[in-house]
Amino acid sequence: MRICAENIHFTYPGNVKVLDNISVTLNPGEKVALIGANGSGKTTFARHLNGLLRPQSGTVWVGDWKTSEHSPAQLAQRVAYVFQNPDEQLFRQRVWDEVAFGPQNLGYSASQVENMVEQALSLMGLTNEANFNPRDLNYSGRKRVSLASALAMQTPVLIFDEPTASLDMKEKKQFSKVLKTLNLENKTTLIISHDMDFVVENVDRIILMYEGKMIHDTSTKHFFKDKELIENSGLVIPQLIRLSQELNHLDLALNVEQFIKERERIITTIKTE
Amino acid sequence: MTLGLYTAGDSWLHRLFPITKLIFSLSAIAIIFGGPNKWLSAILPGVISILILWSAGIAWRALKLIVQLLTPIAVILFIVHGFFGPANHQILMRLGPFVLGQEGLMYASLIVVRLVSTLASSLLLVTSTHPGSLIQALEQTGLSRKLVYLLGSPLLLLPQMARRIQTIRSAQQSRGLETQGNLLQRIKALFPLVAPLVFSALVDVEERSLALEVRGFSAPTPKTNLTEIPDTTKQQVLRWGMIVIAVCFLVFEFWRKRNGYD
Repeated sequence: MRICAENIHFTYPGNVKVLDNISVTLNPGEKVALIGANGSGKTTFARHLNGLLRPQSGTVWVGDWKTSEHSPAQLAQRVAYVFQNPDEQLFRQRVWDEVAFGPQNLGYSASQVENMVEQALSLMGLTNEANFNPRDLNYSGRKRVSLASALAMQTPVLIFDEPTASLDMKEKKQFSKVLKTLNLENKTTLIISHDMDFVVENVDRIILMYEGKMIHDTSTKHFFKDKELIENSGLVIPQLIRLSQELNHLDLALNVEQFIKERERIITTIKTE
Repeated sequence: MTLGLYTAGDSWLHRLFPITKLIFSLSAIAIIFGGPNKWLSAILPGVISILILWSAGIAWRALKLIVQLLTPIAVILFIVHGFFGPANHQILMRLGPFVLGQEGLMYASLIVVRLVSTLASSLLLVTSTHPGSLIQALEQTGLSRKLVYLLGSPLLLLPQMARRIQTIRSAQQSRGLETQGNLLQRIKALFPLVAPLVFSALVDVEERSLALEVRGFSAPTPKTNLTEIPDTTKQQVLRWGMIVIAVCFLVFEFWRKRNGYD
C-alpha cells in the first residue's frame, strides 16, 4: 500500500514548529529508514502516518484514505505502529493474548486471530513464551512481544520506532529476517532508528530529517557514500561503511556478504594483474 | 509555564512561603466541613480563596478548573438528591413519576458549595506553588526527608503521568483500540489504557527508589540545601492565627452539637 504525505506542516502548542513542508511517498514493498538527530521531527512525522497526529496543513494518504478522515483505530487496519517503549502498551496476562489484542480489535474471526498470533510469535521467536506473562520477560523480551503485536495485525504498512533499541545481536538478526519476510510480502516498512549499523544492512532507502525538514531522500548506498553529509547530520558512520571507505579501492558494501564478495573481487583482480 | 496545575508567576501569592498557603488550605477545609453555620462556613472560605486568587491574577484558570471538574458532579448530585433525597417533603415540581423536592435540592446545593470552596482553597495552594518549592518548604520545617518525598513525589509525577497516559492512548489506538465513541466502547477501552499505566508506574516506583538509594537518599549524613525559601515572622504569626481560628471553630461547633443547639 502506498503512503503519501503532501506538504505537511505541524506546530506544537507554544509555536514549536516540528514539521515544515514535508512531502514524501512510501511505495509498497519499500524498506525505508527515517533518520536524524533527536528533535528533528521523525516521530512526529511518523505519527502522522497512522493518524495519531493530524497535519495542520497538507494531506496524508494511506492508500485511498485521508488520515484526517479516519480515526487511528480505523487506520490501524492499514498501518501498524510499534512504539519505542513496550511497557506503554502491555496489559494482558499472557504473551499470546497480548499479541492477539490488535487482530481482535480489527475484527478478525477467532481462527484467523489464532493463525495471525501463531505466525507473529513464530516470526519473533516467542512461540515457547506464548503462555508467559509479558511482565515476566526481560526488556528485550517485552520489546519482541510489542513487535509481534504489530506483526500479528498483518497490515500492509508497518512503522517501527527504534525497533532494535535494547535487542541483542541475535535478536537484531531475527528482526532483520522479519523485515526480509515483510519485504517478500510486499509490505511497506518505515524504521525510525539511530542504529546506523542496522539501518545500513536492512533498508533500501533513507530519509534524513533535520529541524523539521526533510533534507535528504535517497538510496542507502548513495546516502552512505556522502561521508560529509553523514558527519554533518550528527550521525555515526556504520563500521562496515568506514571499513569500505578506508579501503578506498573497494566499492561501498552495505552488508558483510557484499564486503566479502568485493574483497574477493579485488584480490582476484590483483592476482590476475 | 505550567507544571501540572501550577501556573508560574511572581504575584504576592506566588512569593508566600508554601506552608502558609498549605495551612490556609487545610484550615479552610476544616472550617468548610466542620465550622458553625454550615452555609456561611461553606461559602466564606471559598469566597476568600477566589478573592486571593483574583488578586494574584490566576482566578480565571482556577474557576475554569472548578467548573470543568465540578459540573458533572453537581448535575449528578442535583438529580440524585433533588429527585430521590430521603428528606424530600416540600414538592417543587413533578416530572412524570418523579418528584423534585426542596430539601434534596438544598442538601445538594450545600454539598456543591462545599466542594467549590474546598477546590478553590486547594487550588490556591497548587496553582501558585511549584511542587518542588512545596517539597523544599516541607523539608525546611524539619519533616523527615522520606515523609516529604512521600508527600511531594505525586505532585512532581503528575505531568509525567499525564504524558504517559497520552503515549499509552496512542499506542493502544495504533493497535486498533477505539477510545472514543459510546459509553460501552469507552468502558471497554479503560483496562487497556489503565493497566499499562499502573504497571509502568509500579516499575517506575521501584526503579526510582533504587536510583534514590544508590545516590545516598537514606544516608545518615545531614543534607545540604542549595537554596532556601524565605519565610517571615509575619507569616509564622499568620499561620498560627489560622490554625487557632480553625480549631476554635471546630471546638465551638462540637460544643454546640453536644449541647443540642443544632
